[in-house]
Amino acid sequence: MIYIYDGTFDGFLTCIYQNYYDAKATKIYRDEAWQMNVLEEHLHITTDPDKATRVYKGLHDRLSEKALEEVFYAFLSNDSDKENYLMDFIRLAFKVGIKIDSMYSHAAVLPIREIVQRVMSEKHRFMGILRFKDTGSCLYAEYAPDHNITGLLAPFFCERLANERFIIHDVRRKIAAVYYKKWYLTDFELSQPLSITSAEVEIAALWQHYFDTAAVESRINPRLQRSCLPRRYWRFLTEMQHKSKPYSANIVVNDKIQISSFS
Amino acid sequence: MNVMEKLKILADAAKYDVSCVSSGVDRANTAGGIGSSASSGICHSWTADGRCISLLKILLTNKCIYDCKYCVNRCSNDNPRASFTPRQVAELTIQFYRRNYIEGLFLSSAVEKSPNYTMENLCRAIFLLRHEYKFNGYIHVKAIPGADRILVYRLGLLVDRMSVNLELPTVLGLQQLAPQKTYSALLEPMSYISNQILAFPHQSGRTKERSFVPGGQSTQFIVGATPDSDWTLINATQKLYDKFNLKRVFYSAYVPINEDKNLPALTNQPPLKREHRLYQADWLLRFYHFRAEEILDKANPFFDPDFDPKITWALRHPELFPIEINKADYRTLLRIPGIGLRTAQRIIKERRFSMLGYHNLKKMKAVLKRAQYFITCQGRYYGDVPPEPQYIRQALLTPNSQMSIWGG
Repeated sequence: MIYIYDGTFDGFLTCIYQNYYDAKATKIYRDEAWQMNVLEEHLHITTDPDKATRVYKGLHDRLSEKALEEVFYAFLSNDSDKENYLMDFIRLAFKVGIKIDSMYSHAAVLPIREIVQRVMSEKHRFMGILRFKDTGSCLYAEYAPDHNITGLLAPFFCERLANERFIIHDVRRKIAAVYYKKWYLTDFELSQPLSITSAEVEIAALWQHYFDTAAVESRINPRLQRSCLPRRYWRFLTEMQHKSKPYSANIVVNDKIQISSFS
Repeated sequence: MNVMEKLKILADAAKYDVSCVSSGVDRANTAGGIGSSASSGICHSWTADGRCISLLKILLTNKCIYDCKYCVNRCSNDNPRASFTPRQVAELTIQFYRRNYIEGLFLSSAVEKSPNYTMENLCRAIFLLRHEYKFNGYIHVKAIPGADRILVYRLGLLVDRMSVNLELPTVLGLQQLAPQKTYSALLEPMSYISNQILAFPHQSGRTKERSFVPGGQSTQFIVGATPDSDWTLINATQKLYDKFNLKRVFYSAYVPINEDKNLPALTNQPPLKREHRLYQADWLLRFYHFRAEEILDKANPFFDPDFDPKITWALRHPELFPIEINKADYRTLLRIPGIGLRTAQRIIKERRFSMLGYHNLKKMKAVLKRAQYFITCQGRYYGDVPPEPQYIRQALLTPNSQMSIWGG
């Protein structure tokens, strides 16, 4: 039986529940990723928070904090087969409990560990390469991460920039983490471009300047630079604007601060 | 002179300092403050030379009374000179920080007027940043040799890392290239800082409390400005780790910027390969429980350009290999070329449940290209040549030569 769900974490956990109490799932797909297959039966799963909570509690009771985190991180990845890897992982986890933490090369564990590694390293990378722009009323950062890490990044910046207001906008998934004293995750699209201050332009120019000066001429090594900082991130980076087609649909430069809708 | 021009001069003068580390301190933000510190360290960008930018690395001033031959800021150079005010440094740091350009500040300085005068200015800038701007991000400051201890102490309570650059590993080199400096004057603040670090209670975990230089102290050697051997450098490094509990020793391949009869010609390329080998050896000292005398000795004073120091060591000790990965203890596993810290930890964890085979190692990301010649899995050797140094050496240099027998 193929299970189809709505793409939410609760929906996925409902699939896991159903799989134990109903027909065993052979595969689980998000509705947008699934393609009709005449050979196998399929079932649309309606998300049920109660069932999801029961599965979550079960995992929480049987697994270590670390393994539970791995389940969640893997779910946030953009891997097209993540649900099926996760299903194998969770089945094994219910069987062996905390022992799963010491396993590595097991066929049901290794793919998850690798997926989690990718998500964690992207999260860590963006802790460094996310760039905020001052709009006068808040700091605004736009980016297009491979994995759905906005919710993982937000707490880090909330602590660091506790006295600021900020928006971290994932333009690929059209979601944002919005912070003013507390943070929340929301669907987000800008109806009109944001304006930034002239002070912002000045600081960005200083940074650009610093960045260009910091390289030692006799050690120039573009290949090393690209392997540390892949090209696909450049268009969002303040210091790379002149080297790559900038992503600027959401920004206009303006001396007067106009937007105040965010408060 | 505006801030832009100053930044250009004072960033350019600071870039030959290679340390740009923001790790080792786990600090939470304080109420009303800005910034935190992550123990892993965070890189914020990578410049065209492929090195990471983590900290805003600038000099407070490049006006210098010294005339060290190798240094871009020596007083005999006809460079434009500039100084930041403490307020400018603080403002720049905060503005860069809140846009997430940087992880913190690395403030260094040339010696203007006197060591004490310079150190006081450094203190002022950092004090402003920590107290008025309530900045809780990472700060690395250069301690100025010859400055009063009380200044070193005051500054040490505010910053995360302090460093004194030795630059040259021998007294003779120092006499030739930095005639106004003496070794004892350089080592004095190092030993003072190291004693203070030990005197403060050790902090573990995430904390808002300040202690004395919680990120430890570091230093830097220039590589290739003097004829000193790798053995001299690595031996000096070992002594610094032993004696002063240093966190890091950095190596900077010498970039010829000045002309002097005691220096290599301006046309020389920086010895990047040598610098790379030194860092590999440094890692062996810090994480792999090697000693300097195991890596190099008087008879072999330079690194082998073809092989990394771990392989070189392994090839010199065929009597210890191959090692059975199901039995060897952690420290022995770390000695196997192609097995790093993470792989060794995975092996230890996983072999509690089952005997490990060659296929497990593959999945654990061991570098089997190298490791195959130095291990057995459940008694079996998987290398494609006999486990003897001369064959292994050949196989590592020409990885696919054995294929040719079959015409592939």
